[in-house]
Amino acid sequence: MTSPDDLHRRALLQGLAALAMSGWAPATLAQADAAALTPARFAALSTTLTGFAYKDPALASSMLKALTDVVGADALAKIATLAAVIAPDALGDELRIAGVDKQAQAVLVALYSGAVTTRTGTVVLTYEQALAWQAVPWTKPNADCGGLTNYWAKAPQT
Amino acid sequence: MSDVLTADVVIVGSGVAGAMTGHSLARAGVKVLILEAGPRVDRARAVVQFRNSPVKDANSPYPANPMVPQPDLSNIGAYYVQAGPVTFNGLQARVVGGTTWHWGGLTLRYRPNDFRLKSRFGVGVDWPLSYDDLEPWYAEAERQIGVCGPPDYDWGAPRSTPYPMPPIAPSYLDSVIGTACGKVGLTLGTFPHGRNSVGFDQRPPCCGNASCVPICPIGAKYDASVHVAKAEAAGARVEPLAIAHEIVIGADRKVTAIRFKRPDGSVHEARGRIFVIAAHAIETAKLLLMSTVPGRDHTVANSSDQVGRNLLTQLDEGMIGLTREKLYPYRGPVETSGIRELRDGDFRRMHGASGTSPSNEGWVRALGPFKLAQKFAATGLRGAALNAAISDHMSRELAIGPSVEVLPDPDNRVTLARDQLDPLGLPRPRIQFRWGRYEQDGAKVAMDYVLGLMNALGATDVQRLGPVTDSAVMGGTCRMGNDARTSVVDRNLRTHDHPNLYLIGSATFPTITASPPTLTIAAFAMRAGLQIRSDLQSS
Repeated sequence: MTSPDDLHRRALLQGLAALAMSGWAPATLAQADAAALTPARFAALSTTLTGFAYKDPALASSMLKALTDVVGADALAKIATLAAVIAPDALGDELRIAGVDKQAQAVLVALYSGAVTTRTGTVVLTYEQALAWQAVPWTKPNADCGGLTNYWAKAPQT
Repeated sequence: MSDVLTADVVIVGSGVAGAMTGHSLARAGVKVLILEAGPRVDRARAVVQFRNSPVKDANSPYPANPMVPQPDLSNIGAYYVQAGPVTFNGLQARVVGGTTWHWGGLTLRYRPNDFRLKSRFGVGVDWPLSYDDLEPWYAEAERQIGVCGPPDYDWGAPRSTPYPMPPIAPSYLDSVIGTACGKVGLTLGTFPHGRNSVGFDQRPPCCGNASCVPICPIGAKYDASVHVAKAEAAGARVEPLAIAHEIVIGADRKVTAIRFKRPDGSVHEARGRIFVIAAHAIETAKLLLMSTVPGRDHTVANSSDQVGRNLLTQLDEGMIGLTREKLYPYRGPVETSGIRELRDGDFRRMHGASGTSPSNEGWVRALGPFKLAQKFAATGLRGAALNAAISDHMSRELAIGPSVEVLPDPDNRVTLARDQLDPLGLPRPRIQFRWGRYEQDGAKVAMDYVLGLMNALGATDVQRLGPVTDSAVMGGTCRMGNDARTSVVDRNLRTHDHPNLYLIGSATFPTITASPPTLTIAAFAMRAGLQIRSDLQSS
């Protein structure tokens, strides 16, 4: 009987093969490293996990650096590689098997919240551009103006 | 070298009480000095501080000067020494402009019965003046603050004048809740606000930043920095980072000076003819208790032993749930409507009145989608499915609950923790607090209605929160009354013990109600200003 894990690994191998043919993926997961996590790959990772990516290059770079510091370059690269090739519904299991599920959760929360939790506390890189706000386009970050006075009296256009 | 500052009137505290009193005096040509323990606030910097804060609670935009500690909800015991049994959560912002920086902006008047609890319902105490005595001052305070409100409902407080501005519109959330209220015998009314519905007093109209607590980025919500600036423009001197620690009493029982420290520990003095302590319920009591009277065995203004006693707040309970219909919270001012019922009536013989309002802030003000992303990501959701879950949850979040009046209790008190000093060597306030059946029964009645409302809305994931002490409302500790044996100040807010010492603010309130106290504080400040001018002319 084929287990879900087998299916995930098969999907992983198929994905890696496809990426290798495309010319930019690392040959093996073990070779993945931080240097390979270009802004484009980081944006791709962000899009896979959240559906969105930071548009401001400086902010994206800050987030990448902060996450590299917090979760480690190897783990981040591993997560990015898996996220690039595994279907979203199977990604959680593969991350767990690869031993980076907790780091992936930290990455996801940081992307959504715009804040990175370090050993010494939480550092807010951005509040207004945090990706979670894009999930709720019918509102906006607190302290930003929402529109004309009394706009809140009507249901938002969704 | 010590500074000696002089003025006709020395005011301690630059919140709404001190700022409005100072402005009313300065514009009449009185030389005014305002001592403020905390620093000035730059609004733009405070907004940045808010955005950069991971917790985003009420004091996040206003980081305390290390030498001037203030309570923080994330660590309420760091400043207050909690003696229990109930944890006291009253927040104060020790900054120029005071706690109005992070008030919600609701400007309900107290009702006539709020001033006569004892004679009308047989509980608590009566105030030494009536609603009618205060009504003209409410009207003046509304003009000064800039209040918008509904023309068709007075919230049980008869009005001699229209609101200065047309009302802020109820939220879409209110319209859904209002329909459900009708099914359970409740009605929803539109609140009056100290926030601009149109341009007023050179401040812009509200654009729904949804950050009233902790800061309005554009100044559409009134805060006392408005009257600090007006007082200064009229000639008042404001001294930030001047931490009053001693009231000096002369041989004739009159106050001669206020001694204050700078953050470097140096001691200075402010001399004047009349002195006003307007430092909110905790700090006002603390300053009086730290100050001795020569030749007497009691502290300043405390021959009655009432200073620090009868600390007041509200009992808060709450309920959160996910409604069947989308509400779209996280938009608009913090609260735009409230339930009209349970705020007054014969039931006050038996249990406390309560004010219940649906919140426009969802379950987790300012951090809602972040918390949900964390929650749903842990279940394995990613990408579009995760975003849909966040949006659906947030759009149906309802948070609602009553704030119940708490009767005065002499054992609810502020004393000095002489064994636990702040960085300047001043005792931290020790707070002892409890409540009883009157308050708990008031909450139970209100929460039964709230549960019925949740059911009418088809809510799921319903959770009950509390009871806790309210973080925004506090008073008492220096109650006003006609009898010098049982009160600290008279109906004009002059201390019984010292003819040139006034206490202004909710510290003087004999009772607290279901309504926010700020407008009433402002009305008393206006009234006291006139009395002080009269004193100056006659002395």
